Amino acid sequence: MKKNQLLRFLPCVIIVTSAFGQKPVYEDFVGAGHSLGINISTSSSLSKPDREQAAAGISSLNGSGLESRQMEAARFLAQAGFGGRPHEIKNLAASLNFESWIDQQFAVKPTSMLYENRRAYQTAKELKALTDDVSNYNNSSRHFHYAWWQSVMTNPDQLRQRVAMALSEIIVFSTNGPVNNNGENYASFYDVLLRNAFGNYEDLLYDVTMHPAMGVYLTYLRNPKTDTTSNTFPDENYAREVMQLFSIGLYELNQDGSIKLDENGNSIPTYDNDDIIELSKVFTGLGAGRLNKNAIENGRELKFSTNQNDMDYTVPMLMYEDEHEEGEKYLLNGYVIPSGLSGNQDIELAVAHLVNHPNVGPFIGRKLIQNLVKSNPSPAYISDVSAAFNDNGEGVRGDMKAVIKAILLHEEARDCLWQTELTNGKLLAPSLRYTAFARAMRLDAGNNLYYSEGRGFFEDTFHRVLSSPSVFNFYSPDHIPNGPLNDMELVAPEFEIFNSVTSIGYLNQVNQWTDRANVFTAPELTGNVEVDREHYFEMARDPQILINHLDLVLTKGRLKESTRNIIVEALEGLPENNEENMQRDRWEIATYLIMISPEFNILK
Amino acid sequence: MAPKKRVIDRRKFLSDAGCAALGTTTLFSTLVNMKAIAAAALDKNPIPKSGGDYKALVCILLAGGMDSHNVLIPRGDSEHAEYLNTRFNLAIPKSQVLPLNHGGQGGRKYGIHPNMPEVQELFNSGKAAFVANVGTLIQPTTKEQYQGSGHPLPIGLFSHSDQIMHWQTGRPGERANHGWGGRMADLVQSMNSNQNLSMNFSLSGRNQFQSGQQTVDFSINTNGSVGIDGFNNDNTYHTLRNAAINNMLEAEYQDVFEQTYVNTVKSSAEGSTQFQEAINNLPEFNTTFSDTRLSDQLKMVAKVIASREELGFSRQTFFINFGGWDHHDGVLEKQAEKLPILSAALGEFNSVLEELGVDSNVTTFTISDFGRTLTSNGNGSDHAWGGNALVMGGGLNGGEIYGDYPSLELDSDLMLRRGRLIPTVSAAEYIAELALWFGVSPSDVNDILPDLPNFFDTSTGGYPLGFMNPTS
Repeated sequence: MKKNQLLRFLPCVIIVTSAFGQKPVYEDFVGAGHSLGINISTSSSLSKPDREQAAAGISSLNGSGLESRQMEAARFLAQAGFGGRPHEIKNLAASLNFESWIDQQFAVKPTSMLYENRRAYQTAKELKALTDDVSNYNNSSRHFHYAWWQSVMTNPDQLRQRVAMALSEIIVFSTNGPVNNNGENYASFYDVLLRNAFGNYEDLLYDVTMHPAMGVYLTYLRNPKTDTTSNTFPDENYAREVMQLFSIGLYELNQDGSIKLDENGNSIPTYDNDDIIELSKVFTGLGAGRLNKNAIENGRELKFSTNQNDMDYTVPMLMYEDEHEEGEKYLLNGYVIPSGLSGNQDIELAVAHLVNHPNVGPFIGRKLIQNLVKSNPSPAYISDVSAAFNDNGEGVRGDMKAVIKAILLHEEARDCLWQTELTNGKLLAPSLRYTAFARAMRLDAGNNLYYSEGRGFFEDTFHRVLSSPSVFNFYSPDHIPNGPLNDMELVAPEFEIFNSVTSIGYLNQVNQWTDRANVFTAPELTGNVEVDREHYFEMARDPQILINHLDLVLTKGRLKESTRNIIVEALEGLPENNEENMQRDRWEIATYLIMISPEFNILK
Repeated sequence: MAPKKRVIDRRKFLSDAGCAALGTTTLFSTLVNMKAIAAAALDKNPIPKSGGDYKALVCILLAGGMDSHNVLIPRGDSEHAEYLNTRFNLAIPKSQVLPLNHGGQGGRKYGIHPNMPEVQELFNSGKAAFVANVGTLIQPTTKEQYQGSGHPLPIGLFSHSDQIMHWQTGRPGERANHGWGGRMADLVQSMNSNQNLSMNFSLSGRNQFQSGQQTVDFSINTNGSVGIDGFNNDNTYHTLRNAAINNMLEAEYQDVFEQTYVNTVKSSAEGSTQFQEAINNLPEFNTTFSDTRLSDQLKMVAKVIASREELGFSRQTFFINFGGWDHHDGVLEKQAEKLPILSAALGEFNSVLEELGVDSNVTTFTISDFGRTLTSNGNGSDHAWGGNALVMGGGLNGGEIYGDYPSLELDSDLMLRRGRLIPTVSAAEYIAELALWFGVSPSDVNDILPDLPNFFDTSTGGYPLGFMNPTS
């Protein structure tokens, strides 16, 4: 077994070297003709030599046994997307050119969540109208979730969508809050993240700041200037959270993410409460940018006091200068916004000033790495990502494309040797376990609709896009679970929502996906979207071959021999009197066990 | 996975005699250095049967920072006028404030939010108390000290994530990873005959309060614990699958992330099996509960308490996060909606505890990130510091307001910009009072709360604030 593992890494390392080394070495496959004198007993630990589809050692060298390449591809697609489909894994494995894959993704047509939301609402409404009265059937958060799932399952811009989701856990906005429950309102906000995922962080933060959903969520819509006669002062909410969470954080950081210390060994706060009071003046005067249809029909007038029920959430907020705090604003580190500028100019300057703070690279960079790749990036990794944030190589700061490449192409993300490091890895967020499963499986969706509101999933796992309990996200980037991780002083954010309710709740979700093969359910759809179990019957004739497949698409080839043996034992115990039942049960049990295995749930 | 039988056997083995049998009767039922005693008990001596000496602390976290100056409100003429002048459009009219019958406070009179009649009644019948102007502090702090430099202040003042953490850890000078409920459990858990299940039950998932060096919460929801679907099914399919699950959970993983994943699933599955058996046969309560999540949660807490002997617990903590108090906007309307939920739920919880005859054994208390600015930001209030906390239980010297309710004048000695009050009671004193009542020794309390000696000397043998009745 040990030998097999060693051999499994051997080709992996060679390939990584070639992908990152100065010159591409073996383009097509591991050996690429260089097999002379190289002795390999088997190409991988995946299958026994006496079985069908089993690979002989020479296959690694002549290119016919490329599991290790596929494992690398599967691992990459789990970091850079929502989990690879089998054919995507195979395609990427052929080249293992990750940078070129990223460049292609940069060029793919972006998802518009607003479009997807309207389409999902219309489609669901038409389907419901077949049997029910739909006169009170409104576009709601449910249709945002339908649109999100439809996009994850069918749209090609996987990297953009994945980065947008990561951003949604950093620049947190939640449907669990005061924003009016209309799918368009959420979709329009999500589009800010999608649109800017490959743009500049400064534009992203400005667009977020001007979006009415954030204005309502963090209470600066209709935030008036100071009125000393009534002891009324600007709302401090956004001023605080935009600094604490969306840009610079609480403490001055070194570029490698470590906390700077003063001469007495104390950390240095980035701001104090007077700074917040000062910045809060900038975010005054913003009101509705447009009336919604309903308000127009009711003859309402657009003004500063227009309330959120009358507001069109799909256009940016408008500055009402009369309500904007006049005068100079004294921001961090001696920076002064002069008096006499327009409200929007104040905001532009304030956002630019924040994004120019040296903390942003390491602060946001670390959170992105944690979301996409691993919980405990090394200082060198954070440093490299900060450098890319600070300068994309052409003197531009905040270029997300450079940041994304720096994260996904870094040796800590790519080099297979890092997989064996104890500090490496993260618990997959529950939604990403769900997407990985749904994308890896052959599904039976007659009308190609993958709608799920995810309500039961959310109750069972505490996780769903745009559903955080507060602006502090589902989990803290610094959460340390008790036990061995605490002993090693390692953070593991996702474990903060992994408890005795959600750990078993997740197992029961997997039970639903496998025992009942039911992956998506929506009340408007007549049937559930189910796994096409028959597709796996042929593989299931041989437990090893079935497990080989699942190991590749779900556990990226990381299934341990011991776990494999546990699964094989269960599969071989099933009665063989009815072959079809046996094959179905084998698929169900094998998939269930792999989906709940630590090898799947921990992304290394 | 059949821990239940083992528990019953062990309970039989550990007989009924109380701590007295160990020859360590102490005043106020304090257990000096409980860990050693409990360890000794487990070795060879009997420890108390659960129930008689049962004590539970129920923590209700009002996450977001509740505007508690509109919960406990001045109602004397001049004090209310001052309140009105400062709060302006956030003020509640004097005529609406429900009166509280209390002494102290220099004769000044206070009342409670109009939508909290149940808490008013609990207070006036001596079963609830307030602690005024309490907040996170490292040392007593004046305005001059705050504005100057060098005086130690809590890390991350006015920030949600930091203040909510300090209230749960009791250590505002650091970013501590463990909470005071968890650290108490580290000391006390061995007193419980049940050693398989955490004594810290959460209705709201992971939290810092209940996390200790060796302790994590056992999370349940309003239906109880969550068990593995199909785990009780003994057909071939499930027998094979369950055996595989067990084998996977029993295996050891070198990878610390994987081992942590497996540890969590395993302890959850085992705990659930045991827990659900214990609460399945409970009779219905006579007390009726409102149809709110908070009431449902407190009802489940009551069920756990009712099962304390079956489960083998003599000490427990409970945690509920009743969040949504970050009212930068619409504070009057939103509090008017939320406070009745809190008030009704507390009234119901008190009733069911009386029904179970354990109202003196259970103390319920609130914590919140911080108080809020007394001045308005338009129609809401912002993050501040000192606030008012609420305690409920039969073991209280109730019907009083502890600490000094300060002047609400904007230029007072305790007031920072925008109407932020410097606390005059430290969260550590509040926590220490509860911990001492729970039975943690003074030296262990000092260990848990390193800043406590700056406010209170535990060696006096008394309680820092006096809202708990030591003999209860």
